Amino acid sequence: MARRLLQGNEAVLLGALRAGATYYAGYPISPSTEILMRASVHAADHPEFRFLQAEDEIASANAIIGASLAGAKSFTATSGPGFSLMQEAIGYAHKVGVPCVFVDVQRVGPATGMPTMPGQGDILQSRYGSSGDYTSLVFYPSSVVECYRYAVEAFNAAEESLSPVVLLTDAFIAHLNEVVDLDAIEVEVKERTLPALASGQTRLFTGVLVYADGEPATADADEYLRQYEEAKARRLTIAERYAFHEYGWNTEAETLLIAYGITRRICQPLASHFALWRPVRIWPVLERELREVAARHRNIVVVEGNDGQYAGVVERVLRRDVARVPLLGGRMSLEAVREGLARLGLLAPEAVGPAGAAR
Amino acid sequence: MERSVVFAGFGGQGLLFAGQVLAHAAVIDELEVLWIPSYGPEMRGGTASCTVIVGDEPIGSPVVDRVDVAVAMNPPSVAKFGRQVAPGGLLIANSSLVEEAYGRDDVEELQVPCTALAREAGDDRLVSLIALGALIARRPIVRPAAVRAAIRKVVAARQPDALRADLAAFAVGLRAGREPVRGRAAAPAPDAAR
Repeated sequence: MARRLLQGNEAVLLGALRAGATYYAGYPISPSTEILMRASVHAADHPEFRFLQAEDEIASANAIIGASLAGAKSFTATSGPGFSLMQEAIGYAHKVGVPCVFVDVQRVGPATGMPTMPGQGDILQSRYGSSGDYTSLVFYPSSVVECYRYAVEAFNAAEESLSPVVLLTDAFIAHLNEVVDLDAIEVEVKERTLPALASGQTRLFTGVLVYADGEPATADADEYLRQYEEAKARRLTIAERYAFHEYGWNTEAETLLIAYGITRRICQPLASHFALWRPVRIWPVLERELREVAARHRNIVVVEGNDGQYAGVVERVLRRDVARVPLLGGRMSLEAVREGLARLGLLAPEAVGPAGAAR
Repeated sequence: MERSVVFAGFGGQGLLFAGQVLAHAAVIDELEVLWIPSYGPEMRGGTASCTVIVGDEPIGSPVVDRVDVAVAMNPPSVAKFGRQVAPGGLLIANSSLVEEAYGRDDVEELQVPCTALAREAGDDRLVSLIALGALIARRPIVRPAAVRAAIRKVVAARQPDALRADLAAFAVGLRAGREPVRGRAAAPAPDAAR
């Protein structure tokens, strides 16, 4: 039957396969481990798909970079502390221009934190986790079917931008099982254009700044700027094709909720009282869309599973204060959202009934 | 129509499995459904629960503050989820391990000696399917035939030998749900984690 129950993590893997991924290297870490396990099962049955359980996340990240340079669409999956370990390699991939996908299934941090509880604390790390300046493309789905779709789009964006793209999810979405019909999902797959190693071309891959001929340019600010501006412009141009977002609910409401990933789902029962804007492309920030939507609402509240990481971004873009409802320690409940909104004076506590039960 | 059920107990009682069976049954009955597990890092002995939300329309929020049905297989689960049952809802307690009634007068409370019945059926791990049977008898969220088809689908793939015992346990639960047994079962469970 076409309709089936599917888990978020499994949907990510199936999306990667749909995009044509043929290499996975990773290290087990809750709540991402199902991706690694299913990738290994797939590899056992499909010799053209190569799988490596590496000794750690640093090796995993570097392995997928090598695999990509050798011609494979490659990816890895991890969670917060593993994502931290991968940052140096991610910076290298940005510097060299390597298309690959990093899946970060977020949990409550920092460090080991709360391994089975959902968090959204890697919003800034997904953009600024490595050293230096670079332009990240990051997507964050809110449902199982979106895990599939935006996994494909992450690979597409990687191929077009020649950069490592991050697919964020969270412990809740990852383990959520929803009914999907994968055959009904129409999504295009962008094929690889980057020539592989051993294809007859000579290429130099190095993290250090070099001229086109391979000579070091380590004292040439103009060369740095030339390369940096070219990469930034290319990434931003490509990102325009992936401007995924959602605006809806009660668009006439005074107050706009900004929520993404699992928090967007949790806020659903509030739909008649509030407007919603949801970025799916977290980075680069959807500045134009955000400004247009924000102008229509008197109040803006960011509901997120961290201490204001995206709220700070919204304030910078809009140059106006926004209110915050942080959902910390894995307490992802409508009750917590209602309490936060009531504390802000934006919702009478009794105005919205408890979520669930005999609707 | 939208109905939410939480299955809760200690790890190893098969609660996540029972929730998956219910979810698959909903797909078979062409309903919309979500299944959400929730567990501590411990594999055995720690609390385990899952929530299943079944509806005619695509489910919005997977997080519910109140549930229509709570299936609570040990005392900590009753304590935690008993208050989450919405007025008019159903609380199914495993009376083999849960000695006292929760006692809300706005909630239907059904005590089923799941552990004792599972022992009679030959395997402690059948407790959750017995509880699922009782649930479907009292609240036919999905058809019993859909549950049987779901059990066949989920179990046959993994352990064909277990299939007959699982179907039988579900039938035992259906009967127990139609004729509730009040109070403690005769045989206490010596190794029950509390």
